[in-house]
Amino acid sequence: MKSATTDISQKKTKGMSLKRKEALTGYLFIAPALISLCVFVIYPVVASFIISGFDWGILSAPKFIGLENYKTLFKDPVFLESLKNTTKWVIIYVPASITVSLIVALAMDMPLRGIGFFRVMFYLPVITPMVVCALLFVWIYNTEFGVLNYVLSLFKIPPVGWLSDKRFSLISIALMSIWKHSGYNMLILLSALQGIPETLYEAAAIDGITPWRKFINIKLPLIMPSMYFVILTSVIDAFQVFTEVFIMTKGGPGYSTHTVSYYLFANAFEYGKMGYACAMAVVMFIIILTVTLIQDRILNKNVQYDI
Amino acid sequence: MKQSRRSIIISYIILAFATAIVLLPFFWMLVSSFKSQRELFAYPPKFFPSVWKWENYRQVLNAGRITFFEMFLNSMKVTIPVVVFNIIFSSLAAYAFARIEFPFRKFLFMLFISSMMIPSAVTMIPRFLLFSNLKLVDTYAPLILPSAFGTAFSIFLLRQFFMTIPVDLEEAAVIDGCGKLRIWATIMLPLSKPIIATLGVFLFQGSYNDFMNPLIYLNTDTKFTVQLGLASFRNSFSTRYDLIMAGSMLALIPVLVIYILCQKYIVRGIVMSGLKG
Amino acid sequence: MKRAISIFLVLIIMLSLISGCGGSKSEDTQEPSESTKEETSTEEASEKPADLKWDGYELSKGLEGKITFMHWGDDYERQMYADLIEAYEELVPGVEVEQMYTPGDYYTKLQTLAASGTLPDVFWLNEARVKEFSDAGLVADLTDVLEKYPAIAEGMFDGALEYGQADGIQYAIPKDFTSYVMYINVDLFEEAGIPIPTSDWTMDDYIELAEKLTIVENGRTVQYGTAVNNYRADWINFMGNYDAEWFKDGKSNISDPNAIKGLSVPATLVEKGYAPAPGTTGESEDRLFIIGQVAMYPSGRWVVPSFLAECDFEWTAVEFPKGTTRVCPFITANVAISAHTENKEIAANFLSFLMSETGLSYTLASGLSVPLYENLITNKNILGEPAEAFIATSKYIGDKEQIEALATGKWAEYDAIISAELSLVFEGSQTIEEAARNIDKKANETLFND
Repeated sequence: MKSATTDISQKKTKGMSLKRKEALTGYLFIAPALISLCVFVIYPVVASFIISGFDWGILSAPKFIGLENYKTLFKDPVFLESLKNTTKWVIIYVPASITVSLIVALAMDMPLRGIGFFRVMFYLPVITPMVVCALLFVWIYNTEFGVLNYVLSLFKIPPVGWLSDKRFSLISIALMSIWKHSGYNMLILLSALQGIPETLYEAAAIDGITPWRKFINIKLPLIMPSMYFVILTSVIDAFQVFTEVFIMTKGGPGYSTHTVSYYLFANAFEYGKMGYACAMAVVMFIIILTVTLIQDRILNKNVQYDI
Repeated sequence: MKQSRRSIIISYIILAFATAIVLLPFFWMLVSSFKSQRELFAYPPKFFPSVWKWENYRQVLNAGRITFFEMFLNSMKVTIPVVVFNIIFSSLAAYAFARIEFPFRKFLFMLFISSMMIPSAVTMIPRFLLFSNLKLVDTYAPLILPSAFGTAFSIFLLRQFFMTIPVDLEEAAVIDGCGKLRIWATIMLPLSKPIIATLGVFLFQGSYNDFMNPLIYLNTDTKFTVQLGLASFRNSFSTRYDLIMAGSMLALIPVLVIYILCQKYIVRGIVMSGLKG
Repeated sequence: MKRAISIFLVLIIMLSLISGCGGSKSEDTQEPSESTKEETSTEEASEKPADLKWDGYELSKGLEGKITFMHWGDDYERQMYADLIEAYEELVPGVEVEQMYTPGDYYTKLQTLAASGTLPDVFWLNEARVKEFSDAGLVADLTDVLEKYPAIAEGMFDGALEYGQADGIQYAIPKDFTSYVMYINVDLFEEAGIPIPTSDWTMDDYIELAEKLTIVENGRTVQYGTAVNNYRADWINFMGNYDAEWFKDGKSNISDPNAIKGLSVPATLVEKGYAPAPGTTGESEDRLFIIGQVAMYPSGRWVVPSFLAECDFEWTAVEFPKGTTRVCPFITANVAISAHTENKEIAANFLSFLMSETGLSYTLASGLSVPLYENLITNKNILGEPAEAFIATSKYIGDKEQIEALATGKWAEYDAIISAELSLVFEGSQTIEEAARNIDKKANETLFND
């Protein structure tokens, strides 16, 4: 923003032409992406902001009702429950999955024999479609004939209703999701780790520091931009968790696995309440944006590269 | 560089443990793809099938209006342009966001990031309306265009990586009198092979595994992609787990090949060799 | 060198851009040539074939044009309809039917098409969606179609057509139905020395048998007497068989003592451990029956193909146990015609073919569902084994409360509320009375409040 004002105030001065040229190049570089963003994202988003002010059942003609959808939303116990579950999900899922990813990435960064094998194997769940993974786990988790309970029964542990008991359902889905997605962030962190110049390690080796210090003092600061990316995108994704829930529990039992995205989808395409669903999307958007900005603030203290 | 013995052993333990956890369900899936539907659900569960049913694979390959291979070709018609163009345009934008000074840079970048916060359920209909007006429904264009010109995720990922590349490298080039486009093409891109390879894998699997968009935009079953083919083994009444598992295994192969090819680039020393060039 | 690389890069970009566009274009131009080829090859048909059982054949003369037809199902059903369409196109050479097969998330696609004004000409619509679509003016009034093709309604079981109506107008035609019956693992009954229940059995008999057939070993249930689903057909059946007025005067009324009595049956079964707590997605209960862990299993006709293929024991089906009466909840795909179709004549003709004996012989062969016509339900070639229990259900098709609830057009959301509350009953965290109270309160406050 600062550069914008200086740019305008000094518009007429000839000496700035180099800077203007650079700005122009910048705009040219982002132009394709920006135009695409406007057409394929911003236009639909603006449309959905507008729709959130209407009583629109997709099929019927929209009727303007102002903020009515929002008022209903905050009185809707199912929405509030979904919001609670989503928050719970983010709090459980994000730290757990990033920790797993980071630990595995650090191990993968070692010059080990057979590392290619490990890298491929660990990544397998990521490339498998979510629908298939979810179906697989529905079946592994099955109370009566699931493999998991079978293994537990060998240790005389009574069957657990992984997906049918509301105390476990959300956690069970989260575990599956961590299984499925850890390879994703692992790969990002790994490529960041691999980008650290060897010379830095060599210098450190001379000082003879412990691996832990090496991690804290060299690796972590240098992969911080990627870490920052991983944290931000994981939080954004976690807030929108949908497919797993849709396939594994349909939000049940009770409302124990209802997430905002699931409830939003159900409203949009099952209950035919598009306006209401859009209002939910707007609220969700504001929440995610706020959380992202807060994270940006916190992480910025540790990263020299800000947004 | 030498690693201490201890950290190597610990790494092995971590990897062995993590891989085992990942692989158990996965192998379960693999052996299941050779079982009969009946044996799949036997209790107590049996790990290996009594008869290896290759028939499942034969059935998957020939089910549907078009063969599995033709569906794969259809998927490629979408996936390849998405991967190639997305990397080009995203990296251009990412480079600008990382290195070039221009007004509203921070705001525009935030705009991109915030576009990731919108659930697709609400943008689906307006977007469909757009393509429907352009008479592009039942073509591959609606599956390619939205991600071909750069997407927030890719731009963000690349930008974060570009930021870790030492600025001195570029400064040397600027003194040489290189234009920004050339710096992007000759310095940034070669130095970013690991992350481009990573992004390539992400984009490939994302586009290849996409189900909802092909479902909504494609009407003719000869244009179906692999994921639509897989879905046809599952309906609300009965799910052919045997065929889904076999189909998924087949569907996995191309992504796996891409991943194995790409992960070779995710190796140390790129930055060093880049310095020489 | 560096310049060469950058030029090369730019060239690659340009080339791939051009080839990308070219690729998609050639895709488009390919299509018409294919369809013209088809038309020329089918032009010969003219005489009515002797074995054709379709009253609408004469009316198809001179029809020309193209319609689209959208349906769901698995690959097997896709092939069934592909064959049916081929047969139709052969009979009516001037018409081309484009099949839009949707392998999943059917309503997401259908509603997207509806919202953008590009609905297919003919499409499936389940009974819970008819009101919603007719309110939005998206489906055509079929009164004239029924006049022109009286064979569609003739001989159809009482009560069925009502499920395609909204506000008394026929907007859709149920193509078949799936009776709800009790599947029986005959081997398990024989092992226990218990005779197979006869059609006059009651809910009390059901619970008693479930108890007898449940086997617990070392604290672990190795065989369940029965299994239940948390699915609309199940709970409509349990309530309906006690003649419950669970939906009354436009309001949810699950607290009706008869409804509670009905719902207590599955709740008791689960509570006492005679049935496993149903999952929230429904698939696992089918599996439990197939692997022989469940002796009695209430479900629809659709499980028959997988049971036939996968059960390695003898099984059969009997009618759902009686409460004070019997109902058969109606679950089906209706066929509707878009209100904005440009070819209603063709669409209607195609619809009549779908509903004709010849048409149904293509689609009912799968065994997934039961024909709605008296003369077809007893036809062994069309309704395979087991048949008896299914034929019996045709005498009491439909449930008054179900129709009333459907008429509100808010079924999907009501259904979701009921399932959610009932799942908490099965899970053991609330009683059936509490669930009923919660359902009525929630539904009447948010859905049926005007």
